[in-house]
Amino acid sequence: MTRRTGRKRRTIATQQRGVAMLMVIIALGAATVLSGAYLASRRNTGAIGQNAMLAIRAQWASRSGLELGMAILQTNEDWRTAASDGVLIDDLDLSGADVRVVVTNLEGLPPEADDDDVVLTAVASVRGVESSMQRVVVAPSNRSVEASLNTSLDEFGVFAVESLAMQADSIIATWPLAPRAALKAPVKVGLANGYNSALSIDNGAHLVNAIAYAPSYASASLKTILDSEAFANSELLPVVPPSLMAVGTGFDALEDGGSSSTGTGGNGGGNGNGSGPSKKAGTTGGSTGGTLNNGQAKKEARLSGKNVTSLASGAYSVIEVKSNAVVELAGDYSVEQLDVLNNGEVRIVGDTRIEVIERAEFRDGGALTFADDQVRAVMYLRNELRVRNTALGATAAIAQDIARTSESITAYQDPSRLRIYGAMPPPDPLAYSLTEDPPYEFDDSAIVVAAIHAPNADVRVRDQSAIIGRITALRLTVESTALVLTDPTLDNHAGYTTLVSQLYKSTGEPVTGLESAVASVDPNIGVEGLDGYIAPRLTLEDPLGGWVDDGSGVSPRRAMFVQPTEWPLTAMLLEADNADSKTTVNDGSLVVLDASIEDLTILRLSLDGSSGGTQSGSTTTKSSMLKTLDPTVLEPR
Amino acid sequence: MMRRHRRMRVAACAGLTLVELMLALAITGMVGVGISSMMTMVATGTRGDMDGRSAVLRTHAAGMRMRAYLTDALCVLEHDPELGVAVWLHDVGGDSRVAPSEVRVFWWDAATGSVEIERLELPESWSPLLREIFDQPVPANSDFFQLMSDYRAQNMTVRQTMVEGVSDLLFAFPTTNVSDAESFDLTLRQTLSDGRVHDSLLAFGLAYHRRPDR
Repeated sequence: MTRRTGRKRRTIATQQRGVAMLMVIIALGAATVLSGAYLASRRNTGAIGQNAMLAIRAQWASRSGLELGMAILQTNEDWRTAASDGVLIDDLDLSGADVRVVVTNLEGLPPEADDDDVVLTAVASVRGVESSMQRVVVAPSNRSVEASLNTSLDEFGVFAVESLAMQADSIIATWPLAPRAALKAPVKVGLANGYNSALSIDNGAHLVNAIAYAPSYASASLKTILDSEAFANSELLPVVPPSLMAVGTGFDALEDGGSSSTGTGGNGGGNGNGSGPSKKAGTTGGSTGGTLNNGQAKKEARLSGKNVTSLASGAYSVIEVKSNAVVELAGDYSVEQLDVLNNGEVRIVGDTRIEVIERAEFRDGGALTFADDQVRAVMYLRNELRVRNTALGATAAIAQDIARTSESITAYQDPSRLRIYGAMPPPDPLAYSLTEDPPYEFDDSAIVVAAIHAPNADVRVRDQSAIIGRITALRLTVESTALVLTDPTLDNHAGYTTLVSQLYKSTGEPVTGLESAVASVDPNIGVEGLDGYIAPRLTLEDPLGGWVDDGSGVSPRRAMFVQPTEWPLTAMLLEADNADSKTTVNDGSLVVLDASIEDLTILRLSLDGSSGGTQSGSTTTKSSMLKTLDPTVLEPR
Repeated sequence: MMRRHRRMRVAACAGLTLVELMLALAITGMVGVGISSMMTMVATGTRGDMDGRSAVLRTHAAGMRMRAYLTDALCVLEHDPELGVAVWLHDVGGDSRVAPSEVRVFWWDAATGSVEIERLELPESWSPLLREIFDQPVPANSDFFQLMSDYRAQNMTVRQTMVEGVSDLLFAFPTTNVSDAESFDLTLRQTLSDGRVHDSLLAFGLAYHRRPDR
């Protein structure tokens, strides 16, 4: 009995200890839940606030760095070569932010001496949070008055002395492969004629992103056309640049004694001072294919078959290259008739000048090619040019491809490596007839990559042909399905269309002497003598270009010469990122730029719940390289 | 008799009395009510906290995203309280005219409480030249909302969410003509789960403001 009672008491005591344990467990559970909830509610608040603060500080510091970089570009310092690998500023402390400013060309490489367009990028870092800003800056590399005079009118993609006509379905646009195409550089169309006869543009023609420059005396009817939807914009030029033909000196000496040896071409050509079109030689040869005839004063070269021949510089009556023959040129040549036919190829292997007195014809795969990117060729055409069913300035394969189009060229090449100068006097107005074939004709899918300056020539582009580069013509007709694709890279931003060039006062008026000098130019001096005639007659407003040191120790600047273009880098990267991953923004990610120039990255701070999703508020840092800065990133997506 | 009494005592010792049981239940109930009310209070507070923080986060994210566009934008082209705003993001060609690819439309959708941005994206299969021809400038007084809608109908746009969970979106411009505005305010109104209204004011400045020529 006693033992049984004692056992029951122990049982009751045990049950009471269990209740206490239960209460303790409940209490602990409640405390844990409360503590967890509290901690969960507080764990990223500070980080969020700090991130916002640091981001703003970095943003303002990067903007300051960008302005400082702009100031450097506006000085007379030789920043193109002084900056190591394009780094203008490194490790600069701006209110606690570490700032780096880098200048590159449009390809993302350190700028070279002739790079006019540069990209300025500033990156500021504040305790790990980085911000980048970017501007595209036009900084003309050569501000000399000679560069401003722009004798070959390269600043214009198209310059029509008398008229420009475009038929339905014709196209004048920026060449998509040109470096400045990424910046949507406009086509500058210059007109020397101030009357409405200067323009005839069919409603179905495509004049893409073109700015017209017309004489200041333009008639009201012409202004109406300029203000139409055909042009993106228009401006009146205070001074119309003179459009002179090229003279092409030095070829007369070749007639008298040019080298006749074959082999690798040297720098033949004399130093004569011929100042006008050469006289037509009276000798024609009768040689057969693959032979050179030296029997007369002028040689004749007729080449055919799969041979490669190096033609010595000198004067020729005929150079005929056909049937897969290849002739290599380097030096000076004067030829009465140049025929490159049936897959023949003229290959430029060294800097070359070619004068064609009568007719230059390239037809049916007959090509003009370049051995490498460094060599240049200049053609002086004193009469006709016919290009049909072939390509000049491209590869032989493109020339021989009957399905060629302007898009057959897949990589940029400088059109100015082939310059075609019209070296003919103005046509006799009475002899001109609309029914005649114009002196320059590009027909049957002809592709020409060149800078053409023929202010006295009627030029017709037709039947899916394309001129890539630029062109000056007396009367330019772009027929249906034909194209003119201009390369804005040829514009040095220092000519007649640039009000901050040496040719204009700060008020925008032409400098003293410019108008009278242009009006009194003798056409016979040609392109070659133009700058030498005009430059001495100008009274420059600022002969030193503004770089006057006042002794204060501060680098003199001239802000007007260096002009920035806004570039929404953040938006572009945001869109480029989301183009690859469209859910990024939707999941509530906050995108913050994190750029270290060579390796531009986007640091994404994912703030869950920021767009109305879950409420956890956790902060996760995911650093991943999403995009490397390259020109394609710069393109609007 | 003795044996029955012993059995009753043994039974009484084996459990709680009714009074003890009622008392225990009452105490447990009171403790439970206390704990649950405390938990509810904390939960309510925490929820309110999270609502508020969520609103701040949403505002911050919206501000950052919209600032990415508007810091460098040139001009507000059009505003419609029911639709949103259209902005001229940049002038790549330097022709002072608005090309469709330079326009961004911030759409306000009151039904879903979201702000989305839309832009032109031409088909990859198009050649660069064809894109250039298509992307011709349009008049500055165009109906950009309609324009973007037309492009969308042709599957030529990309649309991304800027912010969600907004109950109202209010733009305020200092000028009658929105294109003249060099800055503007944006009020993001958010309704929290407890019914409170949270207004966030975002101010945007167009540092590079300029209007298209035509």
